[in-house]
Amino acid sequence: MMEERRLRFKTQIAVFIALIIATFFVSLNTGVIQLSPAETIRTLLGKGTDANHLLLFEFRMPRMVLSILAGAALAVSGAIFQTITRNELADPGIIGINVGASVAIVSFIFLTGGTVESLTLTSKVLLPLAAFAGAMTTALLIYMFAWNRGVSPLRLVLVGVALNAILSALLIVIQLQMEANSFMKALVWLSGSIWAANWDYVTITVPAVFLIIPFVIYKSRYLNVLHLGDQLSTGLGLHVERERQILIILAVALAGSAVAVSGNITFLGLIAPHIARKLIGPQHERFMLISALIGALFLLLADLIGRVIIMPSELPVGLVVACLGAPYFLYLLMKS
Amino acid sequence: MKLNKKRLLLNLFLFGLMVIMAACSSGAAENSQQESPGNEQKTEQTAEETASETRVIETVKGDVEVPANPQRIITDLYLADFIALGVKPVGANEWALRNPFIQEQIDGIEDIGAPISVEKVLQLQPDLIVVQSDENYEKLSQIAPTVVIPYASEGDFYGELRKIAEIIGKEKEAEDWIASFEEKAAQARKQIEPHIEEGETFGIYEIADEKVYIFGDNWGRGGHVLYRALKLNPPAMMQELISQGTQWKELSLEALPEYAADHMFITTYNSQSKGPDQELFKKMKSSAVWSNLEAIKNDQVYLMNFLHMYYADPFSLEEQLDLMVEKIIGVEK
Repeated sequence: MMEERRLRFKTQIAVFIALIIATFFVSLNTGVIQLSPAETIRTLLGKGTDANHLLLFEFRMPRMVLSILAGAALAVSGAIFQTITRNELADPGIIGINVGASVAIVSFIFLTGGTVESLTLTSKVLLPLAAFAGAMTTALLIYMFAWNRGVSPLRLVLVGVALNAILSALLIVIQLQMEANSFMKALVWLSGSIWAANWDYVTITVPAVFLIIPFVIYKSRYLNVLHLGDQLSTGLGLHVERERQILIILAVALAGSAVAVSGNITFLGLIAPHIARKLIGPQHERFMLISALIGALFLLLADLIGRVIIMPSELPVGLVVACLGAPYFLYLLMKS
Repeated sequence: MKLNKKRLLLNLFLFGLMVIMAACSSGAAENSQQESPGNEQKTEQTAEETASETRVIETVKGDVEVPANPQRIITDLYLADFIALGVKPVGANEWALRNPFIQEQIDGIEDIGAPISVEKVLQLQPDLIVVQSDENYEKLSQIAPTVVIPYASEGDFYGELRKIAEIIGKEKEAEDWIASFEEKAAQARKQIEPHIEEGETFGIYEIADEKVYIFGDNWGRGGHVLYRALKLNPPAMMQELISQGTQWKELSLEALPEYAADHMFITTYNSQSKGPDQELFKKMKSSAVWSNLEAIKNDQVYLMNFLHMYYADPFSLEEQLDLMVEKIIGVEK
């Protein structure tokens, strides 16, 4: 039985990686400009035209890499939240992390007046930073409000949902004060959009993802125990509050990093872990990794679809994720 | 059996990785050996082939070097301006392409998407990009020299036209048009003189999705024409806003009477159909606040077509001048 599970695990990893690579190449090859596979390979090898090089390396590749990174980050973040709150429907978005980041972004755009001058360089770095700060602050607020000699998962979710509502209202208020230009900018970010992707964003996100996710997988032992419930965990010698705090910080850091560069994408943190759990079971060492892979694949696909479906315009990736996720949700609902 | 499968997969994966790494590194080596500026990222059909001259333009993003004689221009919203100056771009965004006054001249111009699709722009191989929004500025700059002219950043419409003319070296054409428009405006003023009284106010309003807005003299919807060309007066409250630099204001129903003018030009806009909305005006006209306005009672409310009034470019301005004069002299006192 164990041996079988092991094999399925390794196979699953291989399959998902293969799917990701395949989708990567399909996506690389698809878009308004259609390159033949031969041209693509030539350009990848550095022998293509300048225009093609620009197309693949500056326009398409950054967003695809970012999709993979952000997708993995969101999925793992969702997985952590689902375990901590012992609620299979938890998602960083539901408890307000995404909205918190959105408020920060919108405030930033509002305060800088959406002015065109000089801000591109700084906004490239500051905008994601603002989003990240927003996510962290929101998490802090949730934790503070939920504190009552410790934080129970239920209270965490309830406070999160309440804060989500408040912040959403705040978001609208700020948006209504904005001028048309800034409003459009904010709107684009808010609907989850990776078209502004560039290699700088990738550089910001890579350390976040590649440092945190392995650490989270390392933490799997604790997650496995937390999954059993507070009382049992304490009985088994786990320092529940401290572990929960650490894990929340990690989860928010992941969600914040993802949302910072890819805009507001909800649902992914909910669906990816969900599917992963069905495929591989709740043992966190494996569950986390598969979640990450599924998240990456999902977002990569969503980006591809968003880019292609109404060429030359684009559907925001957040929208595509929601559209793909909703049917799955309904299906779950019907089955239960 | 199981062991072999694992090994096989692992080996395949590592092998694939190796191939990719090798390819990438050899590609990098080749790039550095190439003579052409590998990462300079100008498209093949650059200005160097057609004219060896360039000029430097001051922009909000710093100085930009543009070709002296651009052949393939891409713009998002300044389409009609270019056409008026005698140059036909190869790409514009759908909003600009809907301008009703240039429909005969836009054959073959492609839609570049909104938000701007950098791939589409790349595909069109431009040698100059002039846009209003700074979205994706870096990526666009890598395709061709890109100039950003934010909305209403050049003072007024004439300033905007002159800026565009400066970029493509058509200053003379711009001045010619401005002179002819000023003449037309002077004639129009003479035409409406007998029909208006001293101190009468004129206002421009838009009803968009049930909200009412009022506009100043530099925010489209015929503002420039009404206040600068025809030199008519806005309602006092609006005049104050304009002098403070505010060009538009959303009006609540209570505030509407304060901002109402003796003559009101109204456009309606439905954001779903992205066009005028006849039903909307009928609905609002019958409401208590509106029907008490002097302008309504004196039948001095002119319903205009949003698509005619929204754009601000040489073609639109001339048409708007005619349209507005028509409405004003159509009212006999």
